[in-house]
Amino acid sequence: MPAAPADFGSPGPVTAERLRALCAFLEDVAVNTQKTPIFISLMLASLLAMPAVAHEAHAHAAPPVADSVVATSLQPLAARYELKVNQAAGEWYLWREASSVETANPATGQNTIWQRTAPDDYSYRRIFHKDKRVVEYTSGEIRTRNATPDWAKLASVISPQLLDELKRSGKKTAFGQRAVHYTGKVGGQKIDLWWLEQAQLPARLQMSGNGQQMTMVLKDLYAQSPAGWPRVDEEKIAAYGLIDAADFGDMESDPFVARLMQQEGHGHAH
Amino acid sequence: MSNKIYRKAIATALATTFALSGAMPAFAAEPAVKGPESVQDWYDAGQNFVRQSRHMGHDNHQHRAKNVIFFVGDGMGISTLTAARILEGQLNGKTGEENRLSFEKFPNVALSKTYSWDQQTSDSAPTMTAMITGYKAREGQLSVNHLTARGECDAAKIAANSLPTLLEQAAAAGKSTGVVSTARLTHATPAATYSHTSVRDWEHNGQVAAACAGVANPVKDIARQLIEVSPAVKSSLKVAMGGGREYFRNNTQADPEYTTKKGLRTDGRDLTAEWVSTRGAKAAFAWNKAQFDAVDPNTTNYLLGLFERSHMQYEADRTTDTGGEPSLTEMTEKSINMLKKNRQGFFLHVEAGRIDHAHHAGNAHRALLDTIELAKAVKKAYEMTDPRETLIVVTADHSHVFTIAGYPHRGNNILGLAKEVPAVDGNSPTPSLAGDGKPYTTLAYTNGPGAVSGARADLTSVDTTALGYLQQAVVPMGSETHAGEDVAIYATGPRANLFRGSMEQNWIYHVMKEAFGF
Repeated sequence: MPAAPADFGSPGPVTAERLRALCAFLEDVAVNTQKTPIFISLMLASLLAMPAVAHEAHAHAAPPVADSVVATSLQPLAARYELKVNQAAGEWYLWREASSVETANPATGQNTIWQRTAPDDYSYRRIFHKDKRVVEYTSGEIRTRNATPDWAKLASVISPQLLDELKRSGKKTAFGQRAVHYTGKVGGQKIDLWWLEQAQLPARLQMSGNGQQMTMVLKDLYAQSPAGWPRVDEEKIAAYGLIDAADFGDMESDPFVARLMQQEGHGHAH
Repeated sequence: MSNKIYRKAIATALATTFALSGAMPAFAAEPAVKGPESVQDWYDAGQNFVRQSRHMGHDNHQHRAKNVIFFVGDGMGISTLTAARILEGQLNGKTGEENRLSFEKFPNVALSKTYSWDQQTSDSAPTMTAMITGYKAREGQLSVNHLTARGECDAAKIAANSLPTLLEQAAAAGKSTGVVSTARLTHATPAATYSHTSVRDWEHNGQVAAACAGVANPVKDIARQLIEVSPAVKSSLKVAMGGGREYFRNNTQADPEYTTKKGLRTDGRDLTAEWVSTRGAKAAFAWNKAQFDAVDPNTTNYLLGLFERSHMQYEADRTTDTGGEPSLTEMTEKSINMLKKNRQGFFLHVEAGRIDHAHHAGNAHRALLDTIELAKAVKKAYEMTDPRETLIVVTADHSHVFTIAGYPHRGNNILGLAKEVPAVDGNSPTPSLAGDGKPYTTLAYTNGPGAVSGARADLTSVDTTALGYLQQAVVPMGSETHAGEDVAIYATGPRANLFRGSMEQNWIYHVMKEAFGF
């Protein structure tokens, strides 16, 4: 089985580095027929917005892009995407509010919730419904793992840095607002993006290269979450087992933690 | 009950249990991995060590210890001590290497072998069990003997296999006792002093209920065990401070600091309120720094302090905490002021619990700052007590795969890139280059989150001294691991000279017990 992308599991939406890593990974997957489509889907969803806070790391992380300005200008919304990796399709949800960003991947039974409690203070939870477990990363743990997120990237899926690397090539109206077409090549991968400027979200994103293709298409966009969407029910998850991520090192005999550690046990850039 | 009678009662209970069941405890298949020792072997070997030390003339102190203060740096291996020593010196404007942490000045030093009954490299549960009961034990189990089955739920069987702790023995002897940690109070190291359980993770009742459904009389969760201790310990345990508030409060109670969060208990109990209501009019509960500061040791007899929902903040982050938290030094000081009111003396355990967590995260800077804070707490304890009557022991439960590498020059920033002594006098040091032509840091890990995938990045422009920097590692693991080499023991005070040479970890208990004269 090929190794996962170098920073798979680390926080944050698509960046050039992550794209390069993902595409390299997908290339490996193509060679290894043991890898199932659902696993690929899981990996992609993770790449997009299942930040694991494991090891984004490093003092030279991408510079903040006027986070506070961007965050305050972003409108609360609920979005449903169709996510397709080669022939495997699934759904992916995003809920954005002033101080929280939640995602859901029904196929994997996982939600993630980032909360901003102060300008530089974050907490993060990963909810594993199938395992009935919640992993919590306290603000101290996030800082210790050098995983403080770029809030603008979390809330918009696409990083401003990636947009800067692409070329504007047209516009149209979608979801009642202006959508701008961006194209380009990043890390040898072809990117085709329709970007909703008001919502600050992709209406459609396609990445392709090395015989692999990932497409995410916005299907629904609301100001408030419709009933029935797979948003976390706090009362329900209160009954789940809670794990402080700081305890991972002392819980490797726990099958769930061992599995999670195996997923995250992949290196980073340096 | 004397210790000898107590142990005989345990042995009888065990024999009865096995005679009735005809086998090992319920649920237990024979462990595939196990040591050759009997339970009694651990105790006998510790007692033999003390006797031999006396005969070798190492017992030249006439005084018994009135007080014992037992410091544990969780995961504080020798490389951690060396790096922390250098960092502390450098933070004080020195080159660093010549510095000594407060306890490195203690007169007695020994090495502790940290393997447990079934682990070559141990976790914190059997290691603290060894140090606080005198017996090596099984992975993940707290203060029960190695005959205890994995996941044993039956309270009667846990009771039969329970090992008396030094804290419990000090309580029985009329001394005051205390437990302090920067980790959760229900975490393995502090919990081993007052609780007995087969699973270290059973910290609140919901976890026991999930694992022991259908068991008529399951063992109590660890938080509950802290509140419902024996009458002697209840009277003796004057101070318990650390993190882990949500394990003591129920799931209808909003947390006082993080108001959108609730407790974890599903039994409706508020153990913080029970602490206050069951320990007389002079009992107090504190959850923040202001309340902690307001506690007057002269007018408070019982203090429970729970300063975070889970673990307390790392020392590096403590001052920015929302509710405010006392430092390990401040908690140690307050504890001693409360405990020393007892003329018969006291036993205090203090753990720097977050050294381990920072290492697990691959973050050396935070681990070293917590180690330095432990050294400050030890210094404070030493200054507040009389070395003629107080035995102070400082050790670790296990090490970490943390290395100090290369040939950095004297005074090189311990968190920085390794820079050798220049080949030509007059030249400035420049970063040493590895085989890939790139610089590397002095500090690194063998495994963990900092593992390199593919080619190593060039660290030339990276601030490796930043608080958030994760040192590079070789083997990719989501969490950096413990290490199996020996850890150090530093001691001063009555019977401190019994700490000598290479020691089994459980012998630490036997020396402390000898010092107390139990």
